[in-house]
Amino acid sequence: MRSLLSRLLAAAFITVTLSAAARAAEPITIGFFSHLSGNFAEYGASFRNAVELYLDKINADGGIDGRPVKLLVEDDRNSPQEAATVARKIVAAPGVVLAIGSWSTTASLAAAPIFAEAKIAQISPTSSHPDFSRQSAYQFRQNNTDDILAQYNADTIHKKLKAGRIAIPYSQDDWGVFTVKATAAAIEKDGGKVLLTEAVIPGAKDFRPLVSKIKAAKPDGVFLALPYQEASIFIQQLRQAGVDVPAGGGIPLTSPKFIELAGKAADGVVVHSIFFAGDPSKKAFVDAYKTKYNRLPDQFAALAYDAAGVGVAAIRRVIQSGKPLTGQSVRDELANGPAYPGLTGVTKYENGNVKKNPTFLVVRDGGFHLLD
Amino acid sequence: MLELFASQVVNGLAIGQVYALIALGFTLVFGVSNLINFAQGALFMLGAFIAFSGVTVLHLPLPAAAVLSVVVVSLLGMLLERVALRPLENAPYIAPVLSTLAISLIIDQLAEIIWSPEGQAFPVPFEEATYFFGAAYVTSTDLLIFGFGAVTTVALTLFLSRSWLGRTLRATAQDRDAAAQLGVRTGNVKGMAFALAGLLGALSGILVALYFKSVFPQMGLPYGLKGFAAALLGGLTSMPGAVLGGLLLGVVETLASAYVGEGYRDLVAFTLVLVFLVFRPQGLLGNRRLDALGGAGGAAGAMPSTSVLTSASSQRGAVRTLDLPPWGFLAVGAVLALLPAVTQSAYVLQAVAYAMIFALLVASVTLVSGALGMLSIGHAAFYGVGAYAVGLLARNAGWPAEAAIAGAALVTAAVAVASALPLLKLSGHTVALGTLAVGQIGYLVFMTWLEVTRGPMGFINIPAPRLAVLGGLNLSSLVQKFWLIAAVAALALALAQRLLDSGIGRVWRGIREDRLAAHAAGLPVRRYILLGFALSGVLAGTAGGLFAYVQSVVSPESFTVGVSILLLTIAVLGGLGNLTGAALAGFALTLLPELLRPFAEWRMIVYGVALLIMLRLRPHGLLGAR
Repeated sequence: MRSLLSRLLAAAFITVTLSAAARAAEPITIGFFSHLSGNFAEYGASFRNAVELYLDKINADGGIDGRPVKLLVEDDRNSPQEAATVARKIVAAPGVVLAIGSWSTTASLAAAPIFAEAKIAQISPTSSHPDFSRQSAYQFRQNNTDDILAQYNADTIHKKLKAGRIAIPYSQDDWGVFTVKATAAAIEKDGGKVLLTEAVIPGAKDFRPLVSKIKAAKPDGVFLALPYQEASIFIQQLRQAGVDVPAGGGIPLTSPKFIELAGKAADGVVVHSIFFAGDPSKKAFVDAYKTKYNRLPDQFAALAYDAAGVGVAAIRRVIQSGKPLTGQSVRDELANGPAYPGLTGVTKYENGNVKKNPTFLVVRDGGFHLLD
Repeated sequence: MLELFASQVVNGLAIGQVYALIALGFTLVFGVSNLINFAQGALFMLGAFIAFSGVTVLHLPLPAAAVLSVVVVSLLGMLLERVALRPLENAPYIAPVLSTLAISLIIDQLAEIIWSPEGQAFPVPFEEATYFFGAAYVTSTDLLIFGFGAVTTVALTLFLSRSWLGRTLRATAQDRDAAAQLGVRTGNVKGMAFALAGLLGALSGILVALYFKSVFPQMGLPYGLKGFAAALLGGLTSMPGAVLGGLLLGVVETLASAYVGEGYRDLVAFTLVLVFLVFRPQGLLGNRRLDALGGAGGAAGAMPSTSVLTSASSQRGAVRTLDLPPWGFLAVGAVLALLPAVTQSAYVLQAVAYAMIFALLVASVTLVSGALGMLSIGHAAFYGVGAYAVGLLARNAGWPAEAAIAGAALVTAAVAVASALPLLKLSGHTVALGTLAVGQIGYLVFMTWLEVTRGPMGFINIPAPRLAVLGGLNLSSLVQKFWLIAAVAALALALAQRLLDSGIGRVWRGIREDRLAAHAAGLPVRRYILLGFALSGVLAGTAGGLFAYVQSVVSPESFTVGVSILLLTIAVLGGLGNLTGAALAGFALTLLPELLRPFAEWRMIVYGVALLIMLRLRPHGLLGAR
């Protein structure tokens, strides 16, 4: 009798441990979607590289508490329609507990209602428009919102470059339209004067009419609220016309591609960034990234790396707390979790938003250097 | 003030000569083969990139790389003629144009795969100098472009008017058969015209790369479009006209940029094209030939006829067409409506919902392009009008779904009719240019009219459709939206099919086959064309409205010229004028890329190749044109 009971108990014990072991090995899936083909795909590639680098490290260390992490990668071609489609695909895949994406606010916004409906948290590394995190309790971001960035923009051109009469060409998209308004307001508040602002259609290449107009207005500083492709051509045409006033830029110009395209014309341009590859404290990440992809990581890579880091930390806390691992529990851990120190600063979510401090950089000899 | 104005005019001339150079390539091919070569933009882009690779990969000095690029692209031009155009000599008139479109789809996408989609810095070997005249300035690159442009224009003009080879070129253009009888090897002549077009394309590509000091795989389409516009302004057949057209375009858009706003530059440029089409369709220096040409010629240049479906050698052969009766669409719609019973996967339902919307949209294209025979490369604009209209009516005015969709359909019909007015006199290939301008204007309006469309930021928060008939029932779930789309699409297609089967449809086809005869028979041709556009607008507007409801966000990138080209491609694959074919092809080709998502980069290439094969083997499409 006793022996039968003990045998039964033993059998039950084995079953329990076995199923626990089986559960432990079950992979955790994170959805990823961004801009992987088409124009500006460089940004999406940085995202993907960084996220994969981080997850490789996690999996090499035995995964999250013994469970390997799988990444489900989708391309949204930076189109809202595609973003909505791949978001549906991600939430329909079994076992997805977190999504990272996308690059632009427009694409991220189109995907947002789908993640909210599926109760899965969405971390966009770079959506900077304040509207993004207002969509629902499931939207999180890694970078500063545009109203914070606008103050940094104003600091760049007005405080660091000491320009008082400023011209701002801006890109006519979600980011540019908001940025120009907020930046101009911040500059005027600090006592500067904005002489003219001018919308540039994405993809424009001939800026000579605009350059002549700016030249006639005689500003003593130009702030470029443009993507790097437009900015690189604009700055070349500006210098070509003999306008050599100081120029400053925001987040898009921190891409190394800007310097590559603009060449010598980029010299002296000052930008603000929340990541600097030359910072010795970031050496481990920079070296690992360089070894694997044979290029320097930019701010976009660093933001995506942190997005993966914050997400994995939240998943780990859910598992360790013994709660069931669902999109909802991961979202709650993200929203209420402790501060996460990352490459781009500290992440502590407040309504899905963060505040990180800038570093000012200047372009010299084909590279970024700390502004002294 | 005056000084600034003068400097802006100089800026306009600087970019204008770039356009002029591209326009010369079009004009040459059009003059010789009466064919609008949509692949010219792709050749232009390739020219820039081959020179770029010559310098950066092969480490050649720039002049050597430029020569290499010019030679390679000229050969490619000949190859293009040999592979994509010569086999189509006796194909329907529409085939060669579509063939060049297919080639440009393939080349553009291949370039993105080979050179990555990113822009790259073009190494400029010399130190650029700038010369100032008061507020105005020109750079050494401007002078270089001017020099090459002037030499090329003069050399081309002399070649065409003085040399024997040039004369055979022109003789072939005037009458291929007569030239052949006089001993001209007309096949070789056309090959040579394309080699010259390649040469001009490569040259202008390299010069533009120097102008912007960078190269982009996507530069083919926008600069190709500007080249068209310039050629059209100049009169399509005139070399000096192309140069003048380019300069005019450059100055006008620069002034628009300077005095209206940088965002309005392209809007003004394409509006200028439309104005010219209405008031001076022969262009600045063109002759009346353009009018007479209409659909005539195609690649062959024979009997004038307005039909896009007849071919040079014979009247249309008998082609078996397969199409559904009107109730067939309702039956298919009913079957599709059962899908949610089979699968609950939101991803599958969403994909099929888009496929149904596209079926409707392609049907709208085929109505104008097929039944009426007026090639449309601008339908994405109508689609967009419908989408924004539903956005405004449903979100801002709070209309229920049935009213909002009907309202959007009517608004789109009105827009379609208005944009058809300037196209009335055009037919054949030139109407394609007109619709292209319409499509581009539509896209640019969505982009710049921020107060209404919010431009690139997208029109957001479109509410779920609310059905007043069912007591204000909110169709918030995807399955409910799916049913709405299935019902509306099936009903709209059934009604359109009923119309095509009726006397009205017969009149449309009559106008397509011979507009003059239709006119002589006492039919009010203009009214019927406008009616066709109105109905096409209703279908496109409905599709756009449904799209806005599924998507809940609408932004201009869903309505680019690229989308219009894709729609026309799909309509041709299905069989022009055949609603069943259009709906089937639209449905299938929207779902197929979903299955092939990992190969997304190759999607456009597959479309391009499929179109080429189809034009060659079954020019009347899968289910047959009717």
